[in-house]
Amino acid sequence: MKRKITVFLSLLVILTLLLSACSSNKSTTGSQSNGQSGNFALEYKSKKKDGFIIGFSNGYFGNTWRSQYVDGVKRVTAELKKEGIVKEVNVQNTNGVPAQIAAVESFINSGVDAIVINPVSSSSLAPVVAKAISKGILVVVSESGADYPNTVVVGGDNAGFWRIQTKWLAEQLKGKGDIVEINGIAGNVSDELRTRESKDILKKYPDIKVLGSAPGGWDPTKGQQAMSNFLSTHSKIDGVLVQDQMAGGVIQAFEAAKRPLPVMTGDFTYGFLRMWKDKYPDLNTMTIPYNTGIGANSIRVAVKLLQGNKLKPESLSPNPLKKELKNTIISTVPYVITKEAQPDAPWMEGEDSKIKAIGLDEAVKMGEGKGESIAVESIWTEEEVDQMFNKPAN
Amino acid sequence: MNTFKRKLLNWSSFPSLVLIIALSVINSFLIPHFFSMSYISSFLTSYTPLIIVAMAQTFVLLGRGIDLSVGGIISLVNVIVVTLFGQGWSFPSAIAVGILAGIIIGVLNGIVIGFLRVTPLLATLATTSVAAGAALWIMPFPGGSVPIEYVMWYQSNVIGFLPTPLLFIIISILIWFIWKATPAGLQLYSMGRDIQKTYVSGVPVVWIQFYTYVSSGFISAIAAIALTGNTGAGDPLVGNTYTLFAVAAAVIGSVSLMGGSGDIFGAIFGAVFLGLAFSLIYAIQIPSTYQDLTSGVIVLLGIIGASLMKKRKRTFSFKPSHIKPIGGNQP
Amino acid sequence: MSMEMNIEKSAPKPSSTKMIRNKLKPYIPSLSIIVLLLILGQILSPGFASLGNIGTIVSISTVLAIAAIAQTLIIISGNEGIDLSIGAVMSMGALLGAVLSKGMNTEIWYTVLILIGIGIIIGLINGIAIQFINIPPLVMTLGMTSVVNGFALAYTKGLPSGGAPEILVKLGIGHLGPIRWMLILGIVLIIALELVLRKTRYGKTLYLVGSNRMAAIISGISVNKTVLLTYVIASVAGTLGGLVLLGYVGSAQLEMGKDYALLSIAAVVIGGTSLTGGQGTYLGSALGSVVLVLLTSVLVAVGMPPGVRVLLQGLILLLILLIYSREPKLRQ
Repeated sequence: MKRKITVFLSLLVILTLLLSACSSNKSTTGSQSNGQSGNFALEYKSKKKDGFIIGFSNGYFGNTWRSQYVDGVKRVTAELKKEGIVKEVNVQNTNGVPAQIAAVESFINSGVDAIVINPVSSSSLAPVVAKAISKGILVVVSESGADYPNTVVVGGDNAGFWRIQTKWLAEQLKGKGDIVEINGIAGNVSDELRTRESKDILKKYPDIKVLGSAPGGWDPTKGQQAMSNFLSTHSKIDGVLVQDQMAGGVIQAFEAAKRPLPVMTGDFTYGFLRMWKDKYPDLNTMTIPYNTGIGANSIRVAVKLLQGNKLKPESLSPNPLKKELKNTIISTVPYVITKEAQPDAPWMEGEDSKIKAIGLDEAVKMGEGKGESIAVESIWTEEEVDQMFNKPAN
Repeated sequence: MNTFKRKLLNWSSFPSLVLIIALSVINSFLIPHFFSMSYISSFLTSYTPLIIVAMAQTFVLLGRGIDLSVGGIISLVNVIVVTLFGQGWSFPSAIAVGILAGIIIGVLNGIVIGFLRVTPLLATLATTSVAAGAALWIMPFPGGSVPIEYVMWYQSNVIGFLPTPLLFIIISILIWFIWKATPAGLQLYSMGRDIQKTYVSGVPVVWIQFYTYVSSGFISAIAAIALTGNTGAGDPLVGNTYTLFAVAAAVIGSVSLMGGSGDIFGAIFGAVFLGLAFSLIYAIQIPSTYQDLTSGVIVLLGIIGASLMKKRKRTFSFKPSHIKPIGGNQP
Repeated sequence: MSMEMNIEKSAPKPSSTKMIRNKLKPYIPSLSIIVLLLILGQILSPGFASLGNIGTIVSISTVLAIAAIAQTLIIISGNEGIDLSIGAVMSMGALLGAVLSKGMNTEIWYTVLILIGIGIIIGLINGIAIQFINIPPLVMTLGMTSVVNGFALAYTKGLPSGGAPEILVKLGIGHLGPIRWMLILGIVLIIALELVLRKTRYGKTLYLVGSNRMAAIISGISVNKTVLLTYVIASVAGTLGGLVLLGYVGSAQLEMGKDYALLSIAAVVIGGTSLTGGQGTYLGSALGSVVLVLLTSVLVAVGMPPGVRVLLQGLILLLILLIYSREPKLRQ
């Protein structure tokens, strides 16, 4: 028997070597192509003015945020179609890297003018994106961070979203107290960019002690379970730094434990806002919508680029994942929602003047007639997008 | 000629071949340049990892096991190769270590299931966590890269016209023929049909089980190397979605979950069927909230179709095939 | 057949202490792991084994235990029976529960009726495909998973309106005196399921069908009917379990029950039920659910790098399986 194993394993070794040898016939051609000079997407040369066909590849579809994000794309598409600017936006929702690669391949094959992509991985779609660009297709990365060369990114404002909320919490606690954190998914770009901010901010408040942080996966069930754990292991929790969707679960956990509600960050769905207003008017919370309108914004930017417009240099900021790559339009958070509007509060200091501070009542009013899971949203108007671009030369 | 025809009709993988042909005809109307070389090669670049991982699953299924860890293995191998290359290892040696890692998880599965007799479904569920957790530990955040030449090589042709991904498929098929060439091939089928009898007749069934899981780990690692050629970077979650599709592909290819029936070509056909189905969905524009439902229904129809065709073939059998005497679990 | 039934038949009235010990025997593994994990948790983060936290753990275990109802019955029914769709069915139950009830108590009965109806349909499709077209249960229910997920997505457009009716929230997080409603629900379910399995005709047939289908057919039992009924009960348990999940969480989210498919299988096996069918208890599965929830709770309570948590979870699960859930040797 032993001999058989030896034979078997050595066969595997031979095959391994064979495979390694096969893949080693490289090192022929020179260094990285497409050097730093000129970004294909920024310098995109227009071929036509209207009738564009766009492929929209959404890399994950499994929560209400994404549903509304994709819905925004459809709404803006309907508008652009009516104007005749866009002929078709083919939306494909996939799950996982391999499926998204296949979907983008299929866009390339069907000959689209532009691909707007919300990548499920910040790294692994680079080759297929490069392939699309080599075929002359404009690629706009939407929402989730990725540092693919020759693309324009219309990025979500993860940093602002979490920076303002962390500051708010610290200010509410007057710089002193015990808090817990419930985050998203480890290894996820958005989560990484957010937690980086909170770490930075909390450094400035040495008297705020983080008792623990747990991954909640943006899943209210897991968030609730994590919070319940914290509640039973810590007798004093002054504040909870919890990301959006899971805030409801945190309240449930406190209710179940019959503990008074803490200072906590909230959720940006109208369901949460209504609950806050009607059921927990005394709850000390706030929320910032992580804008579901980014998808629609990305389509608008893609269309402008397709028409041959050039972005103003000041519209662009460094890519959050790669500072030297200046290709990102941050879709800043639209609102900061507190009980009463507080535009001059310390947490608004130094933030973009476009961010509106509004009160709870105003926010609830915006959602009249909208479902519980709909998030507060803001989509750029055509004029707002126009301002990001240079005036057309001709 | 007649015997060939009969052989073909009785081939366990025949139903899936029919499904592929049917879907190809539909696709050729709906997808531009469907039969062009460039389409075929881009299809292969995308779906080769799935085809290979379906083969990996087949070995285990034939021996009446199941391997849920293939997705975890793919992530782990991908991350290891990219990380080592980033630390200055040569690319071939990084690949060798990556494949070794796949084999190690396979060995772990083989020991736990073959020798320690833990039920395969849960044992591999647990080792999935081990592999996926290790991948996340090594690389908590997507990143890194592989030589650009490797990516270009993977996406091009060898010997002028043969898409490179085929090379990976051929290597995996080679392993199948190695099995077939040794007594282990027959023993595997016999074990899948009736492990008790096979054991009594003196076959080292535990070792056969062990080898199926090691082979599965090894071939999954090859799938990961192919996938890395397509992604060009590391991502600790990259393999997640493969596991269940691999099982589905094998079943559509008439590989029996009850062991002992089917072959690796069925799995290849099953995977190609899935690939064609997804291509179809990407090509026709289905409203986005209906896409999941459509792909679910197509996959289910594939499964039902393959099962129905298989069933028709044995209508002559006396008893319904699902009634099988169960040994060893009575009190 | 179940160990209990064996004992009843064979030994002519053994001493009562011995009988109790025999009856408890299958549960000792899970009970001891529960105690071990509680101690471990208490050491790693003091307060873990407090009554409050145990209440929380039992509550969330109840949700998993409902998924385990489906899994236990189907696995006992034999023929490689397994239900991978239970997680999707629960998610759909929660989503439709929120939408149909519009978050109002008054609509709850109507919602329950519709969910039972949908559960019956899903169960029938699963059962018919498995029993009459011979599709392996694992594959059929895997296919069903994407269909059910797709249906829920298409129906709600991904943006479910409504919410959790007050009465469900009360069930999910409320107390009756000092005891949480979820604990009461869990105990009621255990008693009900054990009664069904041991005392009813259905229960007895189920064990027979699971252990030897040939024998069942010969003794005149309608195997088809039993299996179909089992898949129907499973899916109905799933849709209604979704409602309980909705009450516990308080709001509906897509795919919120996803993890329960594989977790429930693990719970059943840790609870001493073999995947070959024909034997097993529901109490075991319920205890298995507690084990798994405890395991994740302990790991969440301790701060550690992201991957390590997943890795440890796998290793510990493997260890538990190795110690308690090994299959019989081939050499009899």
